[in-house]
Amino acid sequence: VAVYFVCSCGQDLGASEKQVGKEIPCPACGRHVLVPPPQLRKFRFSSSPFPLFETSVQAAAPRSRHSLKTRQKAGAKANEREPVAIPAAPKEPGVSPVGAGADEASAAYPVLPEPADGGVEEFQQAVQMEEARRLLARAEADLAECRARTFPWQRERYWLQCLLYPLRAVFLLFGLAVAWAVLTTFLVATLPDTWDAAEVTPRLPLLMPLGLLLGYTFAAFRCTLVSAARGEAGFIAWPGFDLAQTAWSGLVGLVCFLTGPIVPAVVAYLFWLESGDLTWVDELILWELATLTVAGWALAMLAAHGGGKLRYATLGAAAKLVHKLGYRLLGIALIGAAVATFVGLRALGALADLQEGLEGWLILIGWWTGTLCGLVFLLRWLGVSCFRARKLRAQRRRQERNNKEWDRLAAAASPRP
Amino acid sequence: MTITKSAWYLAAALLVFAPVGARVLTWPSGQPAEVDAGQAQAGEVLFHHEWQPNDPLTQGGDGLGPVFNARSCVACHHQGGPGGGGSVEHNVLTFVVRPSVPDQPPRQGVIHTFAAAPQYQETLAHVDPSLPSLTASQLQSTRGNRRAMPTVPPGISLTQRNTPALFGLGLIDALPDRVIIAQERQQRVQHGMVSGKGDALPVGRAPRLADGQVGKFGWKGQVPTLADFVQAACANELGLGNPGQAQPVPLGQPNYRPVGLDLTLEQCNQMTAFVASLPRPVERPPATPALQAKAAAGKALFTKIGCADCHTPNLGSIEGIYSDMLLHRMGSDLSGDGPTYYTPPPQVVKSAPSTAPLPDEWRTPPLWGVADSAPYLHDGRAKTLHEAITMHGGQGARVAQRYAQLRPEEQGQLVEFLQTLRAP
Repeated sequence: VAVYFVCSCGQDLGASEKQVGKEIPCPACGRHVLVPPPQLRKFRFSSSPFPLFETSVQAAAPRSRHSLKTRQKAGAKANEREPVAIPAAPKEPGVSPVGAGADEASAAYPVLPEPADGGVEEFQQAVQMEEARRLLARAEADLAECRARTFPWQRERYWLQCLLYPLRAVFLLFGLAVAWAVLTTFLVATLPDTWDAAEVTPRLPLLMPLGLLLGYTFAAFRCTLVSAARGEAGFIAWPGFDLAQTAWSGLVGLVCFLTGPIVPAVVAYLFWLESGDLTWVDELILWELATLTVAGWALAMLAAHGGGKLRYATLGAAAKLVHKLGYRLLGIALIGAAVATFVGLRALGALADLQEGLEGWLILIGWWTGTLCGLVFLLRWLGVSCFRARKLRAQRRRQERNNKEWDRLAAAASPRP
Repeated sequence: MTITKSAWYLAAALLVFAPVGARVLTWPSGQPAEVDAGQAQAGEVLFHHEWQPNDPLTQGGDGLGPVFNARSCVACHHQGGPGGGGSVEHNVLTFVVRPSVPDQPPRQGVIHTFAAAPQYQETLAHVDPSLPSLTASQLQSTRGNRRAMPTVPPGISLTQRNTPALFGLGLIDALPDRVIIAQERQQRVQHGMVSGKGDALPVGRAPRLADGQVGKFGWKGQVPTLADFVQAACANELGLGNPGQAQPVPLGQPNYRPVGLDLTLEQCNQMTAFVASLPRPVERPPATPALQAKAAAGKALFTKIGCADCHTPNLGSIEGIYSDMLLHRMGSDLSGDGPTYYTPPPQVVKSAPSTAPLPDEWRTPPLWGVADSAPYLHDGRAKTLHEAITMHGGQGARVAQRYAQLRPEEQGQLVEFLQTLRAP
């Protein structure tokens, strides 16, 4: 059972993921109830989830009611992918027009078998029936997909709506926060007294769970970002238990941090170390540097996952992306990062209370939850904005193309002097 | 003219780092202001002056006393030249009486060695009737190098303070609070962010006062500035009341009222200028190449076994100070409650939280000039540097243990290095 929902009569129901979009009878009232899509859905990883650099934006744009050409192209592609199943004709030795010994050739160049006794008409009828069956199956699938898209919540249109996303994903984020709190406590408790090689080396294996959790967190961030950039809504995308993708996401996240955002982060750390008691000016400076770090990292993540390659995990690629999709994206990244870092920095005192018993530990979990929620909010907002920017850009391009076409037609229709 | 992509990136980087750069440029440099030679000269006269009751140099006050520990500054601060440390005979005896009622401030102060008149003479019995009627000077040296202390009832604490050297205090006075707090943060980062581990590890804390300042002077870092330190010493050690610190009232004569101030602010500033003008101690290499090699090996050991974790060679712009200026817990054997000595400032709202030093917390004393400032530790209980190292407990216990594990010749090398740190 993957989906839990409630019938209108109040009966709790459960269904498998395959039954999503279909109707099942309620054992209590007997009514047929539509199985809603699950709230938490395993993310489908792909190498280039929303191509931003190499492939044209138009090709990656989602289906639009007005984009007939796109639909036709997609339909043609679908037909290529799913060739019509030809009913197998009864084989009779020696009847084949190609003749014996032509198996290899027939494998390379499939040839329709000769009509059976019924003649061409019967065969054509069989083909039409099969075509009708195929269309029916496809229609059923489309209907199921359509029903599955009756999301419990729609794609966000305003930034305030993005604040709901971390709340919807709170169970996932809370789980991550608890894991981080436990790991933080454990790592702090086992920190070496000095950073000598003799003391550090035995503790190196402890870095493995850290790397794993870091990778998983980055994978969760990636799911949030990519799912939003694809324009998906109605469910929380989560990485599942895919170790390879976890490792890859961790690598991308780290590279995104190391290829630029690390500079303001290091400056902020050194400034904090040397600045003594922090005045409000110092706190503002730290906030500014932390905001730039997080915003740069988020944009680099967007560029890396949009480009689908590690070489896009740079601030340069992020700058190119912002230039391409509009500077509104930069503003969103900065504001979102400011919110996320404000939450994180304000609650940083929890770390100092780490050994104050249960209370300190709860504060630590709260800090992690708040920080993760802030970051997820930022990534969701950034992803949705990216989706809308791409959509807008595609519409603009289409409009330009139409205008050009009209101009050409008008020029052709106008009488020549 | 088109602006290139690199120019845009450069402009963005400048914009990003401009605030932090501007802020760093406004930080105080830590360089001491130039001392007025005339002021320092006048201060030197006062520093050497033998004060008398109703002294002509005091204007309107009662002069020396009524209770005091010495007749001049130089009487105690004399080792290695005027301004140096003092021997154990000049130790100051302090007391703390903790009230039986909670939330009441403790009664604390100094049991002065001398008095201007017999009726003002302070004895241990003035602290608590159960204690013998002995003066501070009557406590003879029977254990180690310090004065023997009588057994005291619970709730009463008697401790001694050895006279510290004053060389280089002008540099310490100019040291920004920021540098000391940065040292605290570095130690916390280096040894884990958790305060609970700090009991065994050299993780110190900045001595913070109620008004948010960081204490830099005194055995427990209880005084923030050199001017305050000088004024507190004039009042407590010589009985010279001044605008910054009132003179102490004899323990046996609580109704004693001074007739006026003994020192003017100008005189206090002159003495402060003189102390600030005292040169900093020096690192003087031994005469022979063999001893030089020995001292160099000792210097390497000093860092290797962890002495330099707290006795940081350089602090901010001060090179060769060998102190982090932080409070460290030194274990129950080196415990010593004591008065603040200096009237603490009122609590300021929004300042960093201040916590009074614990009995076993001591500010890391700068090791510059250590070769000329025996005896060692807060009450002078260690006659030699070797003894001083082995007596380290608490956060210094691990280093003391590592020192004990060194071969005798290595221990000799380390002590030889410390012997190069001389008074100017």
